[in-house]
Amino acid sequence: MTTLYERLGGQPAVDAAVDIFYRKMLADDKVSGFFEGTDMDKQIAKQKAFLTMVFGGPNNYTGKNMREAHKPLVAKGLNDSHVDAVIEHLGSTLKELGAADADIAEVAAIANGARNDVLNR
Amino acid sequence: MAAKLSYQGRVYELQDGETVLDGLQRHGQDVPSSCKAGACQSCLMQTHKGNPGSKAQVGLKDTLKAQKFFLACQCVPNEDLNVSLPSLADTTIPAEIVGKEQLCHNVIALRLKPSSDFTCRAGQYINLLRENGSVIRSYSVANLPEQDGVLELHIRRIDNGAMSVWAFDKAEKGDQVHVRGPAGECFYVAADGDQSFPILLAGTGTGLAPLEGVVLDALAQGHKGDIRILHGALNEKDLYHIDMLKKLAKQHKNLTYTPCVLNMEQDKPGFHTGSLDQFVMHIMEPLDKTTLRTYFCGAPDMVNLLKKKVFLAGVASKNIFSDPFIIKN
Repeated sequence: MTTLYERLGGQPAVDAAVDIFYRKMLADDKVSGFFEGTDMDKQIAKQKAFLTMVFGGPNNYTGKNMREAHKPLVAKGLNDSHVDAVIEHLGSTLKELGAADADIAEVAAIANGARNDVLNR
Repeated sequence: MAAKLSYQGRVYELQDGETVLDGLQRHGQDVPSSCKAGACQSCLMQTHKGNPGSKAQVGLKDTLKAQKFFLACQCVPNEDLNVSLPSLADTTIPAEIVGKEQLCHNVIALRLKPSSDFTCRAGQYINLLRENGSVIRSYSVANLPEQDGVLELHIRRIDNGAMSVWAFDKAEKGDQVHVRGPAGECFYVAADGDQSFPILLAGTGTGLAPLEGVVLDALAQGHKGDIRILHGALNEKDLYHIDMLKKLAKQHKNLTYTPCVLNMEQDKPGFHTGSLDQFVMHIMEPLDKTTLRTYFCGAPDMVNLLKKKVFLAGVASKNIFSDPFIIKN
């Protein structure tokens, strides 16, 4: 029985996915505004941590720090439509990398599970 | 419960989440600092009791970590510390000014000879200290120190700049300063033994210094791929090393150099007129983006814009190198 993280390819898969995923986010006017003025190197590191989590890998995310981290963004108008966009980009990134549909759905479910924490509800 | 700091015989209580640097400065203590982002290492301190935490030691040399040196701007301690400023003898090497040259109206080159071995890669930055360490600034190394035995720094004159005004008006051959470091990841390395990848370097102002260092290092190591270096400026008078770089490009078939000037009265052969970011995208067009490495240094807004543009155009994030550039009086 392999885990989702193993099936997706572990850390090398995260490394391969991060550029594709972050590029999609920056190119999408719906969400790119939230990355204005942020340091790209730090953002890449954060995206890697995020991808590791939603790939079912080892991570240090808790509901509490998820809330804290997104509080300033919620104040800037972060809402469900932005979370939807993130999950969509996540799915198309995985598709490009050749992941199975069932695994993509599982990743989307993990990401969806963080929705209320992210949106501070 | 926030930690307590012992410093120079007194005890200071930190507020919740406060860094050592902020806490000491809040109490009127004059601790040198500059970028407050953990990059420049100006706020280096040492603790003699307690643990500063690993985040406060990111980027420090192992020898410094082992002696519990840390960066005060990054240190939110979980336990009480007994801290001091580093002594010059422990962390720096004396260096003598062996050359000074005006490069353009607002930039000089200062050449320093460290008194003992100082290992550093061309393109990395070092801390320059004067007045017994009360004035500390970071500058990039523009030459090949292992070849020349000296460090060449490019210093731009900043109004009321505590280091740059001194360097321009007072510093002369034979003067003693101190150097510390190096730090930074803006230098040349072959990719698993492969040297055929293309390199694109662009910078403004003295951001040229680390780029020159990277180019000289790449050429010295026999880099095979194309190297494109662009130096951007508002006006032609802000450019420097034009002849030196043109000559270097003549000597190496795989190197091209283009000075880019935003405000040029009329087009001039050998110069590009227009904005640097647009020209970077133009120069990048024929290069293989999957292997391309880019180096950007200089004004932070320009550096961030270039990083984002080339990333969106397909350059891998791990192949985008830059130096944080700090401007301080």
